[in-house]
Amino acid sequence: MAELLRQSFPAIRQRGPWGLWLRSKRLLLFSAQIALALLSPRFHQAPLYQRTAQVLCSSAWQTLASYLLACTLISAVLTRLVTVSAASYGLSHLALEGVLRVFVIEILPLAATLFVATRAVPPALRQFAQASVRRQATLADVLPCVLGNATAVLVLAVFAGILSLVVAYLVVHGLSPWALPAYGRLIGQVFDPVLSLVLLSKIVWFGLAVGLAPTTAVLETQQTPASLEMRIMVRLLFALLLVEVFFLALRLF
Amino acid sequence: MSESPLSSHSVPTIAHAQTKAVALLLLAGTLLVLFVLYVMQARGVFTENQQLLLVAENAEGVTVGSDLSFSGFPIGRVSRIELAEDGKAHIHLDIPVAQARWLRTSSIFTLERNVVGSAKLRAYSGLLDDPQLPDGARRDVLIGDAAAGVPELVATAHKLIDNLERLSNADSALSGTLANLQQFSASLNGKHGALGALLGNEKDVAKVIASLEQTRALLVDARASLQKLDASLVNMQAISSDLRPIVDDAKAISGNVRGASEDLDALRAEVDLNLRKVSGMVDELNRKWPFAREQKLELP
Repeated sequence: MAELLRQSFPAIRQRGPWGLWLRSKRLLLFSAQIALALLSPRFHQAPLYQRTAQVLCSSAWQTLASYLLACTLISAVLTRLVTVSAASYGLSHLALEGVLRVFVIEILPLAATLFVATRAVPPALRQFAQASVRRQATLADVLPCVLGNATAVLVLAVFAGILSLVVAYLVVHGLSPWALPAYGRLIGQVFDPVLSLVLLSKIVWFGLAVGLAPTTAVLETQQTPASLEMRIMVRLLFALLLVEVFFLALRLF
Repeated sequence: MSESPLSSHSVPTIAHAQTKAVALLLLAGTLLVLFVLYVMQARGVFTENQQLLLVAENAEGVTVGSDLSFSGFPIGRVSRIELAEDGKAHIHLDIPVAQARWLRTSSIFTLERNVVGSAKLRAYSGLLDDPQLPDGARRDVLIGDAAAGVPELVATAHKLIDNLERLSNADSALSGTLANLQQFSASLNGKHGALGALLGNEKDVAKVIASLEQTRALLVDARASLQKLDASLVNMQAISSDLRPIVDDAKAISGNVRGASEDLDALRAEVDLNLRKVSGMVDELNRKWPFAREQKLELP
């Protein structure tokens, strides 16, 4: 499937609501084709893995230490704030559960996504925004970016989530091992099968959004690099918002 | 694969990128698997459980995964909640076999709903020597709802506030009483003090004061009369001392009279005897009298 993406997804010239619908549909079809290509064994070859490894190292490996440090500090401060506030209202038994549900499940995946986005999207955009790349790009060219960035989001979210669980325990109970059974029980209560699946799905969708957003630059025709970057970032934020709202609605209903 | 257009614009390559990526993925995968195993263990997937069915009037506030606690320690977990055919909530619990020893046949189960936080299932085992609760046992739940008393409390408080409002109203009996009390205290502090406060008007106060004045005059008169009476008593005492010899004489006379009266008794007995003798003589004369007209004896 060495067909050029520009030929597979011709530019939409129409304006207005119908043009917007057509452009959205083109983006969805583009995303679906990339997702199918990721599942196709034909693309899983050594060059894909080599370039994916480069993207993954660029997005996750090089930033892992600083990201985990930032997560440790933020989770310690947030846990302390929540527990002290809850204790002042006599609700200390709800503090840890609140930290787990709000910070670990809601905030950290989004933080990992935005961290990867700020780290990986600009260089990827600089690559895909060039006219020569846009003309000649194929699926094999964009797959490493999608796969690498999506994996980076997953890796950072896993590391940060588990680290935050440890930090929350240490902030609340210190080094005492006697609260471990109760803490484990609380984690077991919070991470029920449904919520765990929802969380994992949300992280995967966040990762796909971060991976796909810069690759959509190859579909653009007339934008200058600056306006294209702004357009792609808005598109990414809109996609993240959609994913967040969808999973929020899924949990509520 | 053809030559990639990105090759001429690629970012600086990272040394040993594949090794690092594999290490990163392995580490993340290992952490994820360990975390999943830990969560499964924390949720009791690997422990052997026995079943317990709790029947409640309603299961509001109870969620799947809620704990059953004994002495403050979780010993079981809600696995399923269903509405049974009898209209009651059936709460199915998984009790780890290691913790089941705390539940006895005499154990009591309660469902407590607090104002804040979720409902809590608790078990109380007073007699730990009783037989252990069997697997699949069914027990009723006693429901204690702290929030259920709130409407009643609010209604009572509302009633209390209404009463207070009625009491503190300007037209209320309490306000009238307080006004009267204020008037009473003002009267107490007035010209005639407590007397003015009790009687309430000047006319009656004047009457009472006049009566008191008259009483005081009467008391003065009475005191003078008593003094006179004392003097009379003194005179009477002197007279009585003078009369004492006369009384002694009278006593002596009466003694003599008593002696004389005793002599009179003897004299009377003697007269009676003489009269009987005379009567006998007359009877004798009547018998011996020849011209006795009839011999008839008449009883007196």
